[in-house]
Amino acid sequence: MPVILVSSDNQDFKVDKEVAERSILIKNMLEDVGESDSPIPLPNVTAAVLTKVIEYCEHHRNDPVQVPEETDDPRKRSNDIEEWDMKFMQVDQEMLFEIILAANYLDIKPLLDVGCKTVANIIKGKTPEEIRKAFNIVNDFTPEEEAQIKKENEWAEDR
Amino acid sequence: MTETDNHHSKDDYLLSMDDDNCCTSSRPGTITTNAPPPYTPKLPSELILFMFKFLTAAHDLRSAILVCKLWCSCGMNLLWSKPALLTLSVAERMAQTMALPSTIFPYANYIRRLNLSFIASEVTDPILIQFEPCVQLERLLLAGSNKATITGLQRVLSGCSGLYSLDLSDIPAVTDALIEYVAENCPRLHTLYVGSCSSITDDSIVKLAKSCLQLKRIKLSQCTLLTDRAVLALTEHCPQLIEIDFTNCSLLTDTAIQSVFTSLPQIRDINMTLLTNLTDAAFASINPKIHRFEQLRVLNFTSCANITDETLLRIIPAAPRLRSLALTKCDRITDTGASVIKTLGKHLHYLHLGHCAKITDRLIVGLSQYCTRIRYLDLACCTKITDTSIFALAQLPKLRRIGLVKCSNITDYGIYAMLVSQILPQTLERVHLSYCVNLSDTAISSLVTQCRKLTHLSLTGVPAFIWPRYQMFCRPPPPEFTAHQREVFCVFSGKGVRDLRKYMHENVTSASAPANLANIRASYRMMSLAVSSMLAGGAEGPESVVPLPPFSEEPALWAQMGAVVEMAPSEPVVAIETATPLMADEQEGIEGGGGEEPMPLVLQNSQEMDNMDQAFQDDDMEGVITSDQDPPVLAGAAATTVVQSLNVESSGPLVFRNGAGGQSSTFRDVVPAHDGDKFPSLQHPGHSHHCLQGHRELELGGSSHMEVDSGQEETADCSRVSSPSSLARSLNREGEGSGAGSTSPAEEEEEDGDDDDEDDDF
Repeated sequence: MPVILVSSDNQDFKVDKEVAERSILIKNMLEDVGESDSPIPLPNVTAAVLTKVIEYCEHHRNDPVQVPEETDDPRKRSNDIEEWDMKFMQVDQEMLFEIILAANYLDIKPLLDVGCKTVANIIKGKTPEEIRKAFNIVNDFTPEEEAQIKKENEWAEDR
Repeated sequence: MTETDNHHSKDDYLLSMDDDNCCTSSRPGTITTNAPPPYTPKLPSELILFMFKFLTAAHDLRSAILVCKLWCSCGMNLLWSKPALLTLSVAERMAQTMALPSTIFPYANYIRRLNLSFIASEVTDPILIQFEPCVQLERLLLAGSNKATITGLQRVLSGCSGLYSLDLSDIPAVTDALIEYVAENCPRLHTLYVGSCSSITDDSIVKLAKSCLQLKRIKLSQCTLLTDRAVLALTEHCPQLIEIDFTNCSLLTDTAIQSVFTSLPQIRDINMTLLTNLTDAAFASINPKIHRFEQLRVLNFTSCANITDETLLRIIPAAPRLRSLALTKCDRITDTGASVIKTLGKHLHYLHLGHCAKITDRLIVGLSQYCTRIRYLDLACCTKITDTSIFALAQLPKLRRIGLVKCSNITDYGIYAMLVSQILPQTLERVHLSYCVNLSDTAISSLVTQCRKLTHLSLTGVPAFIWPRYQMFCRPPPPEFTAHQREVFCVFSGKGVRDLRKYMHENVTSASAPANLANIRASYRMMSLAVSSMLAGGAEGPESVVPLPPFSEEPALWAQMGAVVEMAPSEPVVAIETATPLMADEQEGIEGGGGEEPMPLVLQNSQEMDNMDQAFQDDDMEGVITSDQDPPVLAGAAATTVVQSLNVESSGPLVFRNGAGGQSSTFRDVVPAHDGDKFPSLQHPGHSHHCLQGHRELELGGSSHMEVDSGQEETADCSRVSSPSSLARSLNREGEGSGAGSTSPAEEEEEDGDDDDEDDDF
């Protein structure tokens, strides 16, 4: 049975229930409402982002529900992204962060993981200045603050 | 430096950056193009922190916190919470920061887990004292700090009232006085490791037991002064104890162990290695009909030489979910008591029976039927074990390591038996065959060629391998070895196995000569008949099974020996019959079976069978199962005959051919339709798709880790992030634990703990 999702800019998306329920938020909503075909408004997700999120959920519709050993490895790795996901995440930065926000809002843990891994992989190996450039972040430290934080955390520089 | 100093400076700092968007607003003049301003991410801080957790290297996290104030405030706690102290210099520089009169963040308060065990030999009192401000410590690992004195140890522990995990193993300075200090200062302790702190006496352990009432795990190995009094205090005052290591607390008597099993029904892991006073009396009050130790997973009786079958018959049925059982050097154990082990079924993963010289093939054949998830099996010096055991074990779908050191009855037939199924060659990683003196290089060549996952192979003292051409691939003998030991030393690991495989593949005569193949086929039939007769529970003991002739004998001899063997070339190689009921778990496994195999192969005629000969030495093996050849003795028992050929002309799964209809189908197709209660016992295809929960237990449980109690871990694992707010909560929780890839030694040894088996390499 299909479910209708409505993006923040009022576009309707008709998706299989199974696909929509990759989102725990939607799953819970559907469970609360019971059998109902009324559209589900998603005021925090634009149509462009929702299109991508649905694409992800379609591809992963048959994935087993995340098993504990995968979800909570205390040592989180970011080098284990599957190929399809890697390609899926090849989007501009705005979309990347919008997907992360949507995955968080919609409670799609695997998508949140893969999004954050992608960002982490961009950061890895870069200097602070390179990271700022990569994400267009302004350095708001005073030079003194920056120097002090650098010094106080100098121990972590070792590779 | 005090906590308030730090808080003061931190608050000032954070006040100056109360605007969450402080780092997203561009400074005037930074953008010089006319294009629209580039996108700047606006993640809430809990998502920034979540993303930071994938930055496992401290230097990456350090770069991230230097990006802007928001990232800094998100990541700083994480950077310091579990620092990876891999060199003394890192520890010293951290200490320098903490010693500064004023810092931007209250760094000392961020440290939750401090693991100095990697630099233990350099840890001195001055280092320890510098970590005294870390009063939020939850886990402190100092194992092996042999330069530390009680002063340094007390200082680092002084403010840690919230400490719940403490590893003081192998620190000579740990005395009663320190344990009493811990008892007074760390009331929330639930894990204490004091292995090899051999000056500890009952007095301090009694005090500890009376004040640390939440103790869950305690390692007292090699605390040789301890007596029953210490144990009785622990079992009386610490009802939550689930993991206890008494290794070599040799003064302990039955009283102590009896109190454990009386007072701690939820015990999970107990190590009684070298409790030489221990007798069956310790377990005499256990009645399996009444007492249940549902949580018991690990039971170690190594070198408890007085233990007999009596104890096994009491404790094993009462501990139905035992995962690891060590009976090494319990040499009074016989098949009678050990046969109860099979009731553990799929739960048993690790079994050590080394030096239990009384056990026979009958036991191993029985275990192979029921304990189908055994991963690790040690039978060193079980001199009655023959090739028939190997033949039965060859069907275990998860067997990764098999120890057969000094099992001198093992012959080349046993090696070929490992290859009879296509199962074992896919799983075997470590094989110990030292002093199995009858083995030839031809047979070993087949083994290394076909077992592609093999990473360890020991053949010390095997005459066929005491040649430079093979020893050139073996790893160097330990320096303390004598000249003779060096001469016979022959252990291949890692690259050595790969090189040996290549060399043997190119240089060793294969076993594919027709006469050899005929012999192997004949041996399979012999062994399968032996297995069948043992499973049928016939009156005859294993001794009555006709012994296999030497490998070089002509096939014709077999018939003369009265074996029920026919040697027509188109005959199935192996015929095995059984009527073992299918266990519920097996059903489950089968249903979960995958279906991605290529087209099946069925051998239809003698010509194809002939092809087997030349294909024998190749890597893959193809199985065919028919029931055309039911041995007469088993007729009427709803027999299924399992036949394995060794053909590699094409690849495909095992195939059943039902004798009745003659139609064939793939293994997975046929099994569910197989009358339900009858199962070809020596094939367990479903087991490769074990239930995840069982697997989880393996990963979690065996290790005695210093991490949070695994019960809690599992809870945490299961709580999936179910809403954005719960994500934030889980982030907070994880934030205290996740850090820059530092791993305690206890965690590391989890996977490959069998390197130190004393018999393996000598």
